[in-house]
Amino acid sequence: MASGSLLWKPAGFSMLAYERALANLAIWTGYGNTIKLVAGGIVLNLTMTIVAAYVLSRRLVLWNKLLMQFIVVTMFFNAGLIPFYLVVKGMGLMNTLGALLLPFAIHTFHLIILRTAFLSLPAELEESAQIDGANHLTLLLHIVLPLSLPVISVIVLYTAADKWNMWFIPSVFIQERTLYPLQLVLREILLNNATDNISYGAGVGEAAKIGETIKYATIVICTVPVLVIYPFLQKYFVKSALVGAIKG
Amino acid sequence: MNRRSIARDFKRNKWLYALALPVVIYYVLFQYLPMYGAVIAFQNYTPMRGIWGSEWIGLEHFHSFFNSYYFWRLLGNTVLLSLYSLLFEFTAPIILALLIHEVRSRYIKSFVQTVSFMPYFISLIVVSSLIKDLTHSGGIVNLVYTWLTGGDGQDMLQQPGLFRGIYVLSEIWQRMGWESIIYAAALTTIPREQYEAARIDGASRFRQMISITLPGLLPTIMVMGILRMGRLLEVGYEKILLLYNPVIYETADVVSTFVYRKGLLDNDWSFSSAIGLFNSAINLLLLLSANALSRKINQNSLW
Amino acid sequence: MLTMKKTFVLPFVMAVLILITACSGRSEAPEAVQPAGSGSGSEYPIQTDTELTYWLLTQTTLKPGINDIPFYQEWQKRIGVPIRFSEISSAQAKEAFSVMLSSGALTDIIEYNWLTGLPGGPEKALKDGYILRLNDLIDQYAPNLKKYLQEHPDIDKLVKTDNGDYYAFPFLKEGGMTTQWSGPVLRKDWLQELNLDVPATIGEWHKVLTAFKEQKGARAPLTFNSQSNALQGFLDGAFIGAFGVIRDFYVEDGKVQYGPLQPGYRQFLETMNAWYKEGLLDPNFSQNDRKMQDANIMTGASGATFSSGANIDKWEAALAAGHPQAAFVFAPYPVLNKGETPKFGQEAWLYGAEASAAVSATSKHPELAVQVLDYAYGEEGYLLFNYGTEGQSYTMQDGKPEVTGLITQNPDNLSYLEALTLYTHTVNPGPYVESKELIGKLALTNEDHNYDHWKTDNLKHVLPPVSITAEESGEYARIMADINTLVDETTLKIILGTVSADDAYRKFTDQLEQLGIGRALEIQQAAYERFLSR
Repeated sequence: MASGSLLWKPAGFSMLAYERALANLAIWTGYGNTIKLVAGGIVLNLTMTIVAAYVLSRRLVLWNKLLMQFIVVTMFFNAGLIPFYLVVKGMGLMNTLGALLLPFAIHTFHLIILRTAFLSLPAELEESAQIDGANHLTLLLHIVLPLSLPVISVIVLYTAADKWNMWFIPSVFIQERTLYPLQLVLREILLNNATDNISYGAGVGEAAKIGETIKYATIVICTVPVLVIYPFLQKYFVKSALVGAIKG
Repeated sequence: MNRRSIARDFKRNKWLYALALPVVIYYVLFQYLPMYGAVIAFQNYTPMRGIWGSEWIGLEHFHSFFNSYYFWRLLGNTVLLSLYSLLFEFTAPIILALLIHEVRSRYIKSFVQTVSFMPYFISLIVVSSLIKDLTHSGGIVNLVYTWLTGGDGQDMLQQPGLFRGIYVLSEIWQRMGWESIIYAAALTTIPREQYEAARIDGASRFRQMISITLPGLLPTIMVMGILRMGRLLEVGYEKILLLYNPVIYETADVVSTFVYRKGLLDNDWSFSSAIGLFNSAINLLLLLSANALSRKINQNSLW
Repeated sequence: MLTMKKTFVLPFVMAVLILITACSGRSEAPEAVQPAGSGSGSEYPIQTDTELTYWLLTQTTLKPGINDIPFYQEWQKRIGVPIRFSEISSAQAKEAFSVMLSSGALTDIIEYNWLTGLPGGPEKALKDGYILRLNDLIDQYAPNLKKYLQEHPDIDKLVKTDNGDYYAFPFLKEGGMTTQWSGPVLRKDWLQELNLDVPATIGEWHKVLTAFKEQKGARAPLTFNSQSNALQGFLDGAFIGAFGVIRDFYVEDGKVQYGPLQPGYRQFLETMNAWYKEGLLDPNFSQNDRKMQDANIMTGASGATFSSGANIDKWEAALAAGHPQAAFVFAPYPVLNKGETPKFGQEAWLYGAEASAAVSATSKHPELAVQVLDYAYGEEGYLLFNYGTEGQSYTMQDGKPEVTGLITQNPDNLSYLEALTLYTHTVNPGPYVESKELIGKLALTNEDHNYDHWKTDNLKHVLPPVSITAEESGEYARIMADINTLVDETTLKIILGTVSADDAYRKFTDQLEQLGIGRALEIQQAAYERFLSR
């Protein structure tokens, strides 16, 4: 096993690969784009999902069942990428952050989770609030939301992870390299076939300096921050998730 | 519902209707509007002529897919991979949640959770790259596997027989902790008194798990199961795309990767849409049957 | 509860309603080509505020975006037309190109492989209305390209379709190392140490690789880079060519043949399977990316590979630290019997289709786009695209351009090639003429690194850039998609020993027939004959 996997047998630790990886400006623009994406995603998805779940969890509305079917069907019946792309393009969202946010503003699966959580709140609370003359906004903001914080924090984390991991959709909707989120930058570096079919193998020089180790340096740079931040978030998150309730 | 009750309902809940509006608009715009684009499955779609200007050819694409050389292989691979996932990937989080539930020490509990959630945050791009390196001949997983089975150390992603195992195991590793959250949360809703009563009756912990914990989880399991059934033909093609190669097409090529190749690499958009449409129709059928079945068995239903 | 039927109707009704409102006012008919304006195409900078959009693949990952690359800054300044780039990472190229086409909303200029990148080829692209037929526009607005093609009728024949339509501003080469740059290479020091000659036949290769394995402890004596295709190492004809075939269509005595149908292909597979079993072929050969190939070579796990000449300088430099005597030698493409001329090998046509710039049919400013693209084919453009900016990246010495220290000893510690990709367009394919002289200086040449060792009869046997008619293109693309899947799968399985050649070949040729290889051969034969009569 002379070379084997360099991951497990580093041929001498060197900071050079890290310096080189950090010097790659694309990683920083990628980070910037991804942070915007995650932040935007949390705000938008949370708002939309809460509103949708609230409406769907009201028992008095006649149309609720119909609305639920209308929504659940989309989880399983989708038109495919090209028609979807045509719509997004038609709205002028191409090459914008909007293309990665608006079309995914509600994740139906998250919606179902949140709705079941709202439904599991005692009906009396709601009724007594309505008797006191509270409107829907008060009910939502002052009673439903505070009681569902644990589940909401689950949704936040779900959404953050979804947005963080997005790569396929951006690869189709973002046709401008400077707008690539981190995952696409990473893919570009890991595959690094930028110039393979090219007459001369341009970038050969790049490869000489970069070598195999830079691949791992880049992976570390792009992964470790999340893994470091995550346990801190998780402390709150698990606690709240465990006191929360999600009923089937 | 008659007209008057609709009017009354609308009047009473006008704010709710207002809140519902953005939600409905979202679903119409981004979920239903693209469905109309799926009509290109019945055409020879030529972008420059647009959807209405393209030539209509009826069911030709469906015929040629059903009669195509790879049809049965694709369908078989998709269903098998899905069933494996259903068997292992679906049950693993439930088992994990049950085990964590049984652990008494809060610190161990929290430690196990932290560790088991972590893989979910490593992106697919990185995970696939790592899987490739580890299963490569000379990679650590490959070394262990070779040592256990006495093989010749061939790249594991070049052995058709191993692909499903690698795929399902890596999915479990990445998602088990994450998906157990839902069950963990559901477990907390089981009233403590039930356990106390059981303990007084002298039920063992295993007995308690079978007769209290599992029934308490059942509604959640059913809902998750129904959702899962509806996705039988929809395995995660993004990961397969990053992992597969022609040698293992025999087991790794599934309907969705085929759709991807036809649509995005061969520019055969109409054909690709036809296959996608077929896929969706089967999914929907499965979902509806699973839901109906579930309602019959224990009154659980998605709607 | 409502019946299923009703619940399903509602969403569709809604969708259609939204659609009607959304669609009115969305379709934009492409404007017809405007009548000639100034009429002259050679006054640069053009001085206009009209912005053009330009779709192309990433040229280098050294800079975050294309507008940060000095060459593109200088080029825009010279042509005097603001350009808005859509820069695509080549990892996403095919997908991004496909979705752009599917939407029908194209950028003014699209740099892509219009010959083979789009199933159906250029005639289909023209017929389906993606891109413009450029003949009249070139006549009026592209004097430089027009002149170049008039002076080079052999190239002119390559860059148009059978109907005589020009479809793109081509990537052109001047021969030499611009068209021929790769071949088999071996560790020279190992050969010397083991008292072996540079192998020429398959038999000699077997002997050498066995010695590498047994006496030098090479884990994977022969390695390949298979990044873009699992069979990349063989696609140019190395090793497989010894058996008189390639994994594609080729021409034999005026008749188009398909390699995998020939008996030679099976011999090739059986030989490689034997090598694989004996541990001579890298067990990961179909999975390696470039970095794995680098690692194999630099750690001494491999002693032979297929590579471009420029790689070898890099490897020698890297190995020099630990193994000062390490050196590589170019080996001729292997043949079966000593003295034969290799039939296939890497050698490109003077028209490199990989990145040629077409003007989209929806462009509102086709004549401006043509003027912009024509700059590269003039004298000034030639110097800019190959050598960069005078006084910065090159100076004129005795009437000849010479690159400066900015390129050869870059102050930012960039390699020669890296510096070239920033300050010039050369090395990367694109719509310009690649200088033979500059490229010739890229790699060290000496007795061991002699590109003549890699001479083959390739261009007599591979298909020229033929074009398939628009009518046949859909059928052909569908047939070949299935066939390619089958051939790649079968080929790899036989080499890796997953199935035996006997078992596989019991069905293989029948399967190919069933999938329509006969029809594909017919289409290619007709296309080839049309090409000959251009």
